[in-house]
Amino acid sequence: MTLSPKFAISFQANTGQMWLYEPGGTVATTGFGMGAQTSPSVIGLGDAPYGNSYQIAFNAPSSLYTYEPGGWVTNTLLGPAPATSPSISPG
Amino acid sequence: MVSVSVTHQTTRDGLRWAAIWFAALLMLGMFSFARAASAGAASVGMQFSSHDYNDDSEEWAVLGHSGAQIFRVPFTPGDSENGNNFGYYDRVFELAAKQGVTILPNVGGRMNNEVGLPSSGEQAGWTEWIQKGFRRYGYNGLFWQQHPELPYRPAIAWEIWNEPNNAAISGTTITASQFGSFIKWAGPAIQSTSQSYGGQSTGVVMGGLLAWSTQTNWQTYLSSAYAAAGPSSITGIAFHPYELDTSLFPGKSRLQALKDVVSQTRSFVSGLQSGAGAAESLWITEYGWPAQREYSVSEQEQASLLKESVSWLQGQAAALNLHSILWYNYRDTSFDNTWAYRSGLRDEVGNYRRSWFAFEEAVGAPRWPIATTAIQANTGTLWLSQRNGGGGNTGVPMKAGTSPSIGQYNGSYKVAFQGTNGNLWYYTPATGAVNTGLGMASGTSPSITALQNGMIAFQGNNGNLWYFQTGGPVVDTGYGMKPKSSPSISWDPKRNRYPIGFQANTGELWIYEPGGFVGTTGLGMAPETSPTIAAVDGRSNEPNFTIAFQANTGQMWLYQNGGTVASTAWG
Repeated sequence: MTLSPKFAISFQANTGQMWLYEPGGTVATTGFGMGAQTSPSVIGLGDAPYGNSYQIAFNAPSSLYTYEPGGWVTNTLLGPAPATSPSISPG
Repeated sequence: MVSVSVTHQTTRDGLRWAAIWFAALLMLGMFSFARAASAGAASVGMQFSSHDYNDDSEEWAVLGHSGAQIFRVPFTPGDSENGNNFGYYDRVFELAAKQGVTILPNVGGRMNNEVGLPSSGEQAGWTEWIQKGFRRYGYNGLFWQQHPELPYRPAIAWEIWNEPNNAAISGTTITASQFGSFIKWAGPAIQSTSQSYGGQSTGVVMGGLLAWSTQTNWQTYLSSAYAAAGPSSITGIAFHPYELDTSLFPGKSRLQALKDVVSQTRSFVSGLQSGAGAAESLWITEYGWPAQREYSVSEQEQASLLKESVSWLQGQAAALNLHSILWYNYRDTSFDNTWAYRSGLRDEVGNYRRSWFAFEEAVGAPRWPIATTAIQANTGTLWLSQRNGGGGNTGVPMKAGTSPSIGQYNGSYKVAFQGTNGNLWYYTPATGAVNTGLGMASGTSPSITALQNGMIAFQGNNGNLWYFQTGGPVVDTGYGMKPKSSPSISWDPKRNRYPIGFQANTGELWIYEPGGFVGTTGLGMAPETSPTIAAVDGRSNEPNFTIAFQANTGQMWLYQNGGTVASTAWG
């Protein structure tokens, strides 16, 4: 479970899926399953001028994924160590 | 204006170098000038909204990525101890030069630190001060001679005063006649020094008139001030075309209002003093649109306005004889709770607005920052994955079952993690992997500040909460943590604090702020879980940070400093 300074909270719900909560807004599952005992990490992107406002990194059981609003999902094909979590930074 | 302490002593004002060195320096200087403002192109840059960050090396490391060519900085007697100690400005010019940025000194202030213009009794002292400043940072400046290791980035122009027609800024009313009379002696004081000492003319810009649509009668002010100053006192006129209040330009877009006022200003200035004004260059030393508070536009519109305005102004630069386009400003601060401190390319916390990337696009700078993810891969080593496809295996092994934490740091990134020896390590592209020698508790992970400063919190191998900063403090707080739990740290710029959330050995969520609040929230946490914290951008009376955590109900809760608690009801 991580908290972006501005945009959203992402967390692994007790369903095992990644959920996204935007303060003052909506909460919804992204539909993506996560590795056991792992947490997602989220940052704001501030993309100009028409890009996505945040990006989430999370460990699916077999691979590191990134998720952006609108359902843009990328499989990095990078296998994570068991029960560890990624951390994402603006750069 | 906030006073900044100065730590260095200028000692070598009399130092001169061999003629051959001067020749090389001047050649380099001509090259640098061309970079800052090539013929027909205006220099594009920005500034801080207060000068809290002007000598902050980490901010300059970020600014260096922006593509800014010029940066406006207040230049005052007060910040140079009336010319007896230029240490603060040495640092500003050094940091800017290292990033390839030219400083535009915004000259102001009095020898006695009082508001208003220098009095006639101060003229000699003020003149001596500004001439000393020029001899240090202008063409052929002593600072550049003393630092041949730095790129040569002398001040190419000196803007005298900031918004003299705005009593709220000046602290008192300055009449146009008074301002013009001041310019009449202050301008030549700078120019004569440039010609005699620097070996060439410099830009002397009459300063920064607030052009708030039609509301400040600024053209009348300019006309009177220019008449009193005389055309030979200056080489250019600076103004701040703020087209924020849409009620003042009905039927026009903000961009069109800007275009109109800039074009009209050129025509007006060219007609001053029977056409003498046609020789004056124009300098936009402030303009912009806020993303919060009054007059605000959306972040997307702010980005579009920035990009479109820079494009238009650059396209018109030759026709307008426009030399600078300075966006106001680089980053929000909580200095005051108005639009003027919410126009940043970054918000107060440090998040990058869309306008940051729009600025990069407008000046042709490579995109930066690029989202970077740190992960312990199934190789057991630290990997980095970047949004543009970059990254890779660092080859640095990590302790099994632990996770890294990455944050932006010094214009790059820094990763904290537990090494296979159980110690706290960090990794940066510049240093590679570094073992701090500090033991960590088994099965725990460190946390690093997200956007700057590189402060790390972790559970030490004595079970206590620790924090660590490279070149800074290493502190065992003495507060015990629950086994298998990890802290989370943030930086709150509003209070310059580092709030840390952690699960104490009581099972409750605690907060520890070095030099500040320490205590329990009284909220129970689920076993073997860790909170996450983030500083929150907001008004001064709003919370400074939010902590999300799994409560002992199994649900996610939110806690804000000030005591607001809420369950999200999500398991």
